[in-house]
Amino acid sequence: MSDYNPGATLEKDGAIAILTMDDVKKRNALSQAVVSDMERHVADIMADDAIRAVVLTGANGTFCAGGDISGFDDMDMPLRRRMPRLQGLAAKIAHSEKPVVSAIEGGAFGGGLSVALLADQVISADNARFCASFAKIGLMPDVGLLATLTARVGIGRAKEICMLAEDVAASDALADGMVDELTAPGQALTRAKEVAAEFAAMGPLAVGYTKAMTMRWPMTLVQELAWEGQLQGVLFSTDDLQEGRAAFFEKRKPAFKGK
Amino acid sequence: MSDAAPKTLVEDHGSVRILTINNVKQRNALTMDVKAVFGPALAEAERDPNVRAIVITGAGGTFSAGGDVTLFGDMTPAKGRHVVYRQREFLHTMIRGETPIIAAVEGFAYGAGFGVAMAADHIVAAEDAKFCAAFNKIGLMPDGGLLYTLPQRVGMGRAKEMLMLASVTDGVEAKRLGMVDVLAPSGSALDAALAKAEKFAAAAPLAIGAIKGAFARWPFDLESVFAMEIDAQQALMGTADATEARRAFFAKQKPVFKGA
Repeated sequence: MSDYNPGATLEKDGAIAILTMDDVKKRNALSQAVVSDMERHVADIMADDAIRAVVLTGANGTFCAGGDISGFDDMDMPLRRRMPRLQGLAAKIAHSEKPVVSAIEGGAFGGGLSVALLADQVISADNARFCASFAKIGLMPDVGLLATLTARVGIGRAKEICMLAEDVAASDALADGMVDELTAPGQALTRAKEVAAEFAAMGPLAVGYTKAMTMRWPMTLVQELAWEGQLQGVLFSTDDLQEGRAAFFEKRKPAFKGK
Repeated sequence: MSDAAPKTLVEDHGSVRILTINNVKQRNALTMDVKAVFGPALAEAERDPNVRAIVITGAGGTFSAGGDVTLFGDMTPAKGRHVVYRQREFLHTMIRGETPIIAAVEGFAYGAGFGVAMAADHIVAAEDAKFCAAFNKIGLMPDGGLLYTLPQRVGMGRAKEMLMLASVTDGVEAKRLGMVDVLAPSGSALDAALAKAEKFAAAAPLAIGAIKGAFARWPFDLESVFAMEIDAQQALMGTADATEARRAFFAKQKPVFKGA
């Protein structure tokens, strides 16, 4: 292919950023080219106050094939250095206070499934397939999957999915809570943008603090009560609360500013 | 079966070891006799590199009635502590070991027997199996690890109901709640468990051990997972099994794992 240009692209559409993994030859595997671009774009998105929600997706009709297996031979960047890089990117996405919605066509495998589940909401085409394929090549799940998947499907199902590298159909993924909503094939991105727009219309501070709190899971009730007290105290002093109250009484939609 | 029969039967199906609690007269209650044999048999299976999966089941069509209530006649706090302590030894092996464990439940899994079933990684239940945290019926709180394992599978609300009210849950309802993973027709839980155990036995054992070891630390936050995965993944990348798996992947063959 003459115009083969692996990487990741960023599009901004109003308050929504769409981050697309794109490596047509490797089914959007997490090659160095894709990861480098994602690092750059994620930094851009997080620094942009106008962006209120992020859609994470893959080009070429698939989400992401996972780690770049062919790149495993390339020990110029050994795992001990490569993995913290991927984990650092994952942490930026997971800990971002902007809501993230994954849009999945085709499939999400191995590290691609891990990336998909870093999102707050997961929208999938009803013919997509999922597999924590790590164990097929003698590895354990990485990029946070043991935490994110287990939080979604419970420990029994997570063990089955991870230990047996089971192929999970979209309908089962929905039933298990691995994904949140199914669409017709080809419609995942469109629907994810709609969902992202719903998140973007909410008060960004309240959404961000809620996300930050859920990222501290597991937590004790004592911790939760202490943290909510601190954060709710901050939210009580915001302009957004005044706007929200005014809109409520005036029966109109609020226009939140994140202040 | 005579009283001289071993209190735990040990049988190998290829690389799957079946441990059958065998105390039929007391519905496989976990008496001190049973624990004295079951615990070491489990530890031996866990240590044996040729054993890639362990199935735990009960003889005579039932899993286990739980603790030995005949002991409770002259129970004292010190004796009670000893009884529960012996249980902790094998539960520790079940949860912290590296070999996948599949429970095959027919009939009753009550009290500590319920605990043993829930401590498995994968649980197969007959449709008419019955689970009950019966402790509260005799004025005790749950043991057998249920306060840890049960809410992970059914959530806190359900777990409180089951543990506080000692309610009975049948196999069908247990499957619906995610309390068990596979539902089998009555009488065929062991067959279904063996079929599933073969799959666990064929998977890369070091990766399975790493996954099981990670889950034994549940609950964890995302940062803890990042730390665990970088340590374990680095070690796994250098294994002969990983090399074999990559060879097989590109050759479109089934890999043969050696646990090395």
